[in-house]
Amino acid sequence: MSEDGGLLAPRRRLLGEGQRTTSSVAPAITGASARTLTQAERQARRQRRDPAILAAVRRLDVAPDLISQTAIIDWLHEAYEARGGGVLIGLFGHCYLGSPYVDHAFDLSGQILCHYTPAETVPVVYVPARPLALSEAYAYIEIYGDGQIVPVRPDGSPAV
Amino acid sequence: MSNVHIDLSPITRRIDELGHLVDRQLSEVNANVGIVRSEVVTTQAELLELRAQFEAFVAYAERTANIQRAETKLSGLKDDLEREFGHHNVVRRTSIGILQAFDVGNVSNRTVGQISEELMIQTPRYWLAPAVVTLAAWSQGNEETATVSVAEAFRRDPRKTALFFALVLRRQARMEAAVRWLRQYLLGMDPLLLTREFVVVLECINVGAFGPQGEALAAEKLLEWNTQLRRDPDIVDRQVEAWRAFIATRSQRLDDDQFPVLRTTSPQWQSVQYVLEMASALPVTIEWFEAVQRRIDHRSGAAHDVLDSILEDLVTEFDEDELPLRREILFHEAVIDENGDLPRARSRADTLQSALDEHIDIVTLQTNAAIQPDVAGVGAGTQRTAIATSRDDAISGVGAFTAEYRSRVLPAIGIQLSPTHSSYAVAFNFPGWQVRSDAPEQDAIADLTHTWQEALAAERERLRFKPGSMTVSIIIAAAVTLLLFFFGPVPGIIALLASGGVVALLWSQRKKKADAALAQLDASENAAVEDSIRLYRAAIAEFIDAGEEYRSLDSREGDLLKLLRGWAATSLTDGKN
Repeated sequence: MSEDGGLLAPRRRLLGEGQRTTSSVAPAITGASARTLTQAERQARRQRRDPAILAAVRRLDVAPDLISQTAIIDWLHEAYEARGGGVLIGLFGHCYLGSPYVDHAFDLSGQILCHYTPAETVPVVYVPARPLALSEAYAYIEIYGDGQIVPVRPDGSPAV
Repeated sequence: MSNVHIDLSPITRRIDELGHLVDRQLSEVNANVGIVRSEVVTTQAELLELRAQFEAFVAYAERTANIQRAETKLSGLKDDLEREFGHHNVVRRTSIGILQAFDVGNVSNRTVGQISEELMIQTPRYWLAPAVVTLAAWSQGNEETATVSVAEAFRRDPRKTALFFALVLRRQARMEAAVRWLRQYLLGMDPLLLTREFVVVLECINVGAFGPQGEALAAEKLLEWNTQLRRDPDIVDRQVEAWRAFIATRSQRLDDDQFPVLRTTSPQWQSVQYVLEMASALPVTIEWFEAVQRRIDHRSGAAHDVLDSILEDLVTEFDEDELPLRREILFHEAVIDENGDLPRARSRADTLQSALDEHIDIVTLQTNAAIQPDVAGVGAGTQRTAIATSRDDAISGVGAFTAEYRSRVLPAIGIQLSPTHSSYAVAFNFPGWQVRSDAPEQDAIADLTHTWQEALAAERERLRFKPGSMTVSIIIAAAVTLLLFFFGPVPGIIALLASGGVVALLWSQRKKKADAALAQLDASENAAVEDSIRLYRAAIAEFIDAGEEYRSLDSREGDLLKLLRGWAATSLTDGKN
């Protein structure tokens, strides 16, 4: 996680397809949020997450360069689709980079990774997840397209 | 022309007199008007009171009329009930009597047969009548009659017939047959609409009243129903919510004397309090589960009595035909109980009625048995099994509960010293000061000190010795000196020396006084700043303590989850101790 020539960049960006620039505007919640969840999706959200997914999220935090980060994010994208728990917007978690960053968000739809300081406001979708990320009880927080926030414990069980 | 002199004085005098007379009369009229006005006011007040009393009386009369009407109707309804369904009561009493007679063995089979046949003829459509005939035929060894009667009773009401025979056969120690009837009974139950009587039966099975076969049957049935119903996420969500609400009720309250400084200095105190109180539920919940594990049930010894009472209830409780009449009777009794107040009677009757014909699904039943065994009417063994069955719901409930209060945790709060936070603040018009709890202490203290300095700056300025205040004295001294100089150099010099000395004395006096006042102000300022810093530090210390206590409470979630995950599905008859 290099800094630009001594200046701490406030955000790190991975640009996915298209010129997406992150701003304080929330990543668009797609039309998927409009339809209600199926029974299968609700059940899938209650199941434990695979240890592989948890390991991938952990690796994402310490990935050394952009290429491996992109690869991990792609893999996570597919893994979550395979789980069938509905459309996943992003993952939010505590940032272990240290000061001044406290949390970070992986935006799975646009494949963007952002770090945030305490003073910054996060996009609207992540606002409810922020206090949850403070707690040490959760490995990371899933944010779904229909607005549900699912904290995931280190052993993969969801708190839902 | 000059001699014409009209003496107008009598006229004027008369006019004056008239004027006085009118004045007097006017004031009398005023007085009378005043009296009338006050009388009108009194009358109005009395009228209002009369109206209020009248309305109260009307309401009372209405209620009394309601009560009388209800009483009349009640007696009429009870007569109707007796007339239409009274014979059912005869059958019920007879069946209990027959069973008791079988136990004692002092009544001839012929009599029993005769009575049961009479009842069969006299009570058409009632399931209990052919059941009683079956009992009689069975005791006489008359297989054909028994078979026919059983089929008829089963046709009329399969569920109650199955339960009746299960209980009777159990009573006669025909365990295998009893279990077969039990299977029939369970087959006929809809898992979404279970009745209260089912709960009692389940409890008796768990206590071992139907032997190990009965337990195995019940376990198999419960598993089947659970799997079937849990496919619906709505049902599961309801259970999770029930668990979450239950854990929330375990939360404790902070004492009023805890965190006294933080309470008054932080505008976000409510959040801190909420989070602490919620987290305190976790150790309490752990204790609760541990108590359930240890709980001993003394039911098993009384199983026999319980089952007998179920049997009696079964045969003496009313059937569905009687429900409409029974409901009306209930309502009228409620009217009498509530002294004629119709809306309240309606709501009371509704509550009682819903308690009577409550239907519940198996999953909610399990959750109720786990959380509120006394209300659900189950014992410790059933409770433990129920917890094992709804373990996943409980775990989700814990997750939902902790996620909720964790989302309300504030990483930093504001500390506010109000303009009245100390006596110094009040005395010196402290403007108030605010800081975030995560600001470095050095910076906060520096800012606080600076605020105090600014607050006292005006006072300081006021007390400072200003040479300008001596101007007047100097001018006077100079004037006097100059004046005396006119009289000669010597008086002038004396005057100069004297006035110079006076001015110097005054100067030094005033300066000393000002310095003393300033020194006192300094001391006060230091004391005030110290006081405020102490308060600030106390608030920070309490916040840190609160944070540690929260963390220690919050970390118990792991223990709770471990306890739940390891909850052994103990055997159904666990309470045989």
